Amino acid sequence: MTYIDPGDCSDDDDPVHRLVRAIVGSSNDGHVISLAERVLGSQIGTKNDNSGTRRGGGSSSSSHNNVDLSSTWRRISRKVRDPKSKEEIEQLYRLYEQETEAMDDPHLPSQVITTLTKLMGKKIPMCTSNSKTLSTNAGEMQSMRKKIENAENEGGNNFTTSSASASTPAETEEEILLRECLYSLQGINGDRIRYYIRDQNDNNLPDASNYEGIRINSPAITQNLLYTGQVSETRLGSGALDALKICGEAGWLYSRIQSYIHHVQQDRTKGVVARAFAETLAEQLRDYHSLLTTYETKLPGFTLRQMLVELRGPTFRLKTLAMLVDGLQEFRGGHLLSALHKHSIHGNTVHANIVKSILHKASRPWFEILYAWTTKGVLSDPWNEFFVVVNKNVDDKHLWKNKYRINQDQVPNGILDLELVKPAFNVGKGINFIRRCLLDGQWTMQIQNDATDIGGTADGENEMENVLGYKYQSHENGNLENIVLQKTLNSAARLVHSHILCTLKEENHLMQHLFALKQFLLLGQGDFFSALTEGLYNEFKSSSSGESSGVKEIYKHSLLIIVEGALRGSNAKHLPQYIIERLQVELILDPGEEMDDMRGPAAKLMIDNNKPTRDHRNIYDIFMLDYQVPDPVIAIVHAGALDRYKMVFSLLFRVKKIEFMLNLTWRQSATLQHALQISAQHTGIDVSSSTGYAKATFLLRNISILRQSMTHLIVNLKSYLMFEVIEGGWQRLQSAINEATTLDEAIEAHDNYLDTIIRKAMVRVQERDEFPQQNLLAGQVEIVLDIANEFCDLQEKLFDRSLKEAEIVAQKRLDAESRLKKGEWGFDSQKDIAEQETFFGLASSSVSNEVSKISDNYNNHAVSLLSALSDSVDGNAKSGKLDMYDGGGLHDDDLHPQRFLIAQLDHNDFYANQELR
Amino acid sequence: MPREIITLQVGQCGNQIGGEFWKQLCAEHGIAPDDDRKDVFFYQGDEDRYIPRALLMDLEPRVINKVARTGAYRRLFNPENLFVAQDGGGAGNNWASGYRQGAEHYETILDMIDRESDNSDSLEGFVLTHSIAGGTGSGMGSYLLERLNDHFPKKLIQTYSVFPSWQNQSDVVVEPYNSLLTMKRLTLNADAVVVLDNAALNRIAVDRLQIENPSVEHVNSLVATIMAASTTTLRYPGYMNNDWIGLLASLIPTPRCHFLMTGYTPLVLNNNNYNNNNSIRKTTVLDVMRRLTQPKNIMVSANMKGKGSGCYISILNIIQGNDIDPTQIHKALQRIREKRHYHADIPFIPWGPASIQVALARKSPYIQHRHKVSGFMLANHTSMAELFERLLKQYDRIKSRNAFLDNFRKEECFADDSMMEEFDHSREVVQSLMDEYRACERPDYVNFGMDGKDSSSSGVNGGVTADDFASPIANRKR
Repeated sequence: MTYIDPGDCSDDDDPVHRLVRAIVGSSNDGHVISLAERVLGSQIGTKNDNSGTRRGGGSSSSSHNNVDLSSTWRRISRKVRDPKSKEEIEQLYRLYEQETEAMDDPHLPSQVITTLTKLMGKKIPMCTSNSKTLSTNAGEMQSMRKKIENAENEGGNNFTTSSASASTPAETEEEILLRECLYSLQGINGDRIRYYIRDQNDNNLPDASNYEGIRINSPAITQNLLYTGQVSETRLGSGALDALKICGEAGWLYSRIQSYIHHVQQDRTKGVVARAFAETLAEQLRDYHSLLTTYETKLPGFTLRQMLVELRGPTFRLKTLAMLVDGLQEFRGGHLLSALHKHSIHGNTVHANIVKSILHKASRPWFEILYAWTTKGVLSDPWNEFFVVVNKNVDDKHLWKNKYRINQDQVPNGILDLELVKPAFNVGKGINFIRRCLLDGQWTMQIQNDATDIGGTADGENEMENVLGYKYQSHENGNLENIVLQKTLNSAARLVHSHILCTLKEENHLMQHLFALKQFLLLGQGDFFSALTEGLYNEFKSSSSGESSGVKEIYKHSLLIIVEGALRGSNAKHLPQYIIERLQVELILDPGEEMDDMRGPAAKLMIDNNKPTRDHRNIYDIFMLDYQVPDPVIAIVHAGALDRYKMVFSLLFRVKKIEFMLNLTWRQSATLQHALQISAQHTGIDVSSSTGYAKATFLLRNISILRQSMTHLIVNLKSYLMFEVIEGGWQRLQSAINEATTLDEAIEAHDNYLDTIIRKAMVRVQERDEFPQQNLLAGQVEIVLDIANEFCDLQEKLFDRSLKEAEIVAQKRLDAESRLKKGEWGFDSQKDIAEQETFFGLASSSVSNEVSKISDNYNNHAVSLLSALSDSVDGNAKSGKLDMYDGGGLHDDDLHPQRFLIAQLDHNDFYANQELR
Repeated sequence: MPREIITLQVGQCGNQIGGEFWKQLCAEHGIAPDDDRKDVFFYQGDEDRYIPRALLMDLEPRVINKVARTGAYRRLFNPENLFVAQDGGGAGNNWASGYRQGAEHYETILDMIDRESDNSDSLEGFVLTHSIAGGTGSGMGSYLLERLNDHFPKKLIQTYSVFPSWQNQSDVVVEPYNSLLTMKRLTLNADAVVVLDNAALNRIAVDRLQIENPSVEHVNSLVATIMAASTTTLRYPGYMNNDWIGLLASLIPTPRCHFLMTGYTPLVLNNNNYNNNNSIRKTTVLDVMRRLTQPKNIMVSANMKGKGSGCYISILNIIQGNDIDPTQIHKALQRIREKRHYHADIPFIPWGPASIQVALARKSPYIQHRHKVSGFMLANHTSMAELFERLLKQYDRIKSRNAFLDNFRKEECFADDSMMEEFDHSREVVQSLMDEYRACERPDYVNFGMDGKDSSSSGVNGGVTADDFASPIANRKR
């Protein structure tokens, strides 16, 4: 390839070229003339566009150019044999000259000259006997340049001493200069032209001042040229100086590019993209070399001016390349591509086209990485150039969430559309997920068919290109969107995700595990939890009646027995074994406490007995179910999600425990009531006149009424939690997962499900200061539950004692009856009646006071809870705050999740009226 | 650990409704009459058979023979669980006779109960089916209630008690006596009584099922539907209301006011010959919930609408249906609440928070259901006092003349003064119960039975006088 004006696409497209060729051939004269006319006309007409790309040439050359132009025309007309054609051409030339003068454009003629000259193959006689042949071999040139550089370095100077002996007197000064220029075009110091370095103040270095010669300063470069020829500045002429300047510039640019290439080739860590970029640059430089070679072959007869003209394009190209090198030398991988892309959207189309062609080639290895990642899940990226980063320390269990991440710095903007980054990332991650988590090593993506559908043919070598739309299309059609890549990636993503979701659902029992999590961690299996709470109560009740021994005597194996019993005794036993076996017991312990290995016979909760404060926790406070989420499902039920399940569990289990205790004490008080009646009947106490009986009845009724308030709250709270919060959420989760097209969507759906539950269930949110309302509500709920708990403890103590007394009394009565049957005296009457009276004395004033204290406290806080709920509903309605953490997709009744609860909790305006009072 | 429940069927009526109940359960659990299923109500017998945890007791063989020896379900029951008195003479509609015979056969019956209770892992309690007006179910049932309380003090006792229609003149003239005496035991010894008001059941059969002259079978079938419905949450456990105590605890806040009324919609008799013209009704959750509290669907004849008609202490609606969106229930409740006039229609107690509770239950997969959604209501309503008032009126009418007491005097335990004492005490208990129900309509219910208003202090000076409860109904506040 020959370097001509970079603005032209090829020789054939050059109108002047075509014109001249036609003239020279002059096979069809009429046609030639009209063609010439048209071309010249268009040349003149479009000259402004061309001049735009060529600014900096300087108008000083215009006079010379005009001279040359006329001679060229003359030469053209000489060549044309047909007199008529000849006349026409001359006419044409005159017309052209007029036009040119009128337009005063120096650039167009220069182009015409260049092309005409070149194409007419006019040989300028030159002496080739002692000329140095320029090597087109980059390697040799490299070594040659190196040698000179070394020599420079050894000399400790930045330029070597002039040695004019190399030139022979036979050559003209211009020829020598031209030859020297060819050296400096490669950044090599010649005999007469050499580089020297300016210091900061633009002063010449001391050494340089020792040299006689013409200093040519170029503001564009940091090195200057020194001409040390025998010809004076005036004799050289401004044209020659311009040529020297341009040669110096080009050579300097050349060395910069070369040094970058060298640097990248030496340093493997720069990565494959940088190397491809360097390789592309090297390719460009090879073209540059061959251009120089053509100059050399023309040498005798080739003038500085001609060279000056011809070098404009290549210099521009070198400038562009050097600019890239300068700007991108620290960049690598995707980042380098992004930066290249930025350069490609330059307003100068010539510049932009150069960069685009470079970008096209430099991005090749990156696309190879992308290809491997998106088709095989292989991350062959030893130098971290890709936007996917793998953390090898992460266990495959957490592959989806933690193993891979996107390095935004390495996302090649403009190469890969931003909206494709995530799909591309997920496709590879998905393939790895299928291989390692779903253990499906055989799975391969069947994507070829899809690819052919979108226009590519999957044949051999081009397979990758077609499969992945690997072609960087923007170069061809100016369209930045890479449609093929987009389509392919999207269909690959679809394939991978549907396979993952399908396998998770069908083979890994995703929905069944989510259901099990709902049943066990969200207490959906009601009968299991009824049995469990009762089992726990029976196991640990002995300690609760007397001195509460707290949680010291908890053995894990006994907990397991209780859980197993509850499983057997409930419909949970119908759940598949793969679910049951994942259920485990966990205890929430303070730091420092530990549970010995559960298998050992001595497994026992170890608690530091020296704790100064008494342990107020009971088994319900520290009991926790755990669910061993199987590996592939962990992608959806990740550790964070499981933690949130457990947060909800704590609240629900607490509510369940209080519900159980309220029911238990309801039962106890009913039993007690029966016992009271029976014993009153048997001792003949007149219930309508006995003070003790009335007091006891009154206390029991007070307790009953307070218990009823609490039961009402607990039942409604639970019903709200179960129906509205969990079951409603579960239905939405099911449909969201069914609609999910990607694993991420499924994960998000599940995260939303838990978020919504936590928000609606008023679970205290840790370390989330942005939801003060939530924690305020949670706090109110906790207070009310605490009071209910306190009340249950009080009842339990009272009823336990009284029921024991009642049992003794009942036993005595039975004894008395049997004695009576045997004909003995039935009653040990005085003593028994006294005992009956103490039994009725359960209504001691201290208990009554305690009950009424709790009752007042409870009512106050129930009112506060209701008003906190109303505030929350109103607050949410006003600020529209819900949008924030519901992630859009609001359900109608989501707007006020707690409105229903308020309505139920105070359906008969009991609290509202109380507040009024 | 299923919380087992043992059913005790006493007397003619008790065994008839019991029989129907088991038929219904067998159908719902897919247990064929002589083939062979659920832990709460059944246990597994030797040959993979499911046997009801039920004791059938009567003082005459006719009904038990029909239910358990000759009927389609004769192989269902454990023959060891049948008790028929040797002489087979029955109680002759005499409470005192039934009570006495109950005492006589108590040892045998207790053995049967103990055996059945040993058969359970964790017995929750007993269900007694009987009528309160006859002889065996009322008298023997009363005796059993007393003894069960003694023998199993911690077990629940719930009864399904058929109340006579006092409006109509019954052929059993001593019904008020029998009923009053039984009512005392139901008040003192039972934890919950599901009142099956014969008058209301007949009205519903006529009005809702369009049966001109409903037979005993029709009414019993209604009763079986109610009994089965009330136990669905125990038999098909969901996330709520899956234990019996929890169910009752929210319905019965104070132990004495434990008389529950029921409602069911849409009503369809299992034997579908009667109501073919019954168009299939719209059954959305909202429709069902609305209809449940309409008096025409409530199986107790009491004035529950308008002023002075009392208030709800509690309501539990059990919504049965498959694939019911649980959030539908809350939407329905919200809708019901939004209708302001409705809120006035369902007045609640003023002395504590109260609202409609809803439980969800599955429908049996073994039965073809004509309606997608059906609803069952259990409610504790103060207008139950009307029934007691009626009973007392009937009782007072004949007692003031000391009429029809001869048969009672024949029984040893009712000789002389003790009979009068028993009657008076029973009346006192029922009166007190009625008063307590009426007191529930007032905000100061907590002070019921107390003299001084300063009740929380230790200065309680006992003594309940009739004046305390005599405040005129007109003065009652909502």
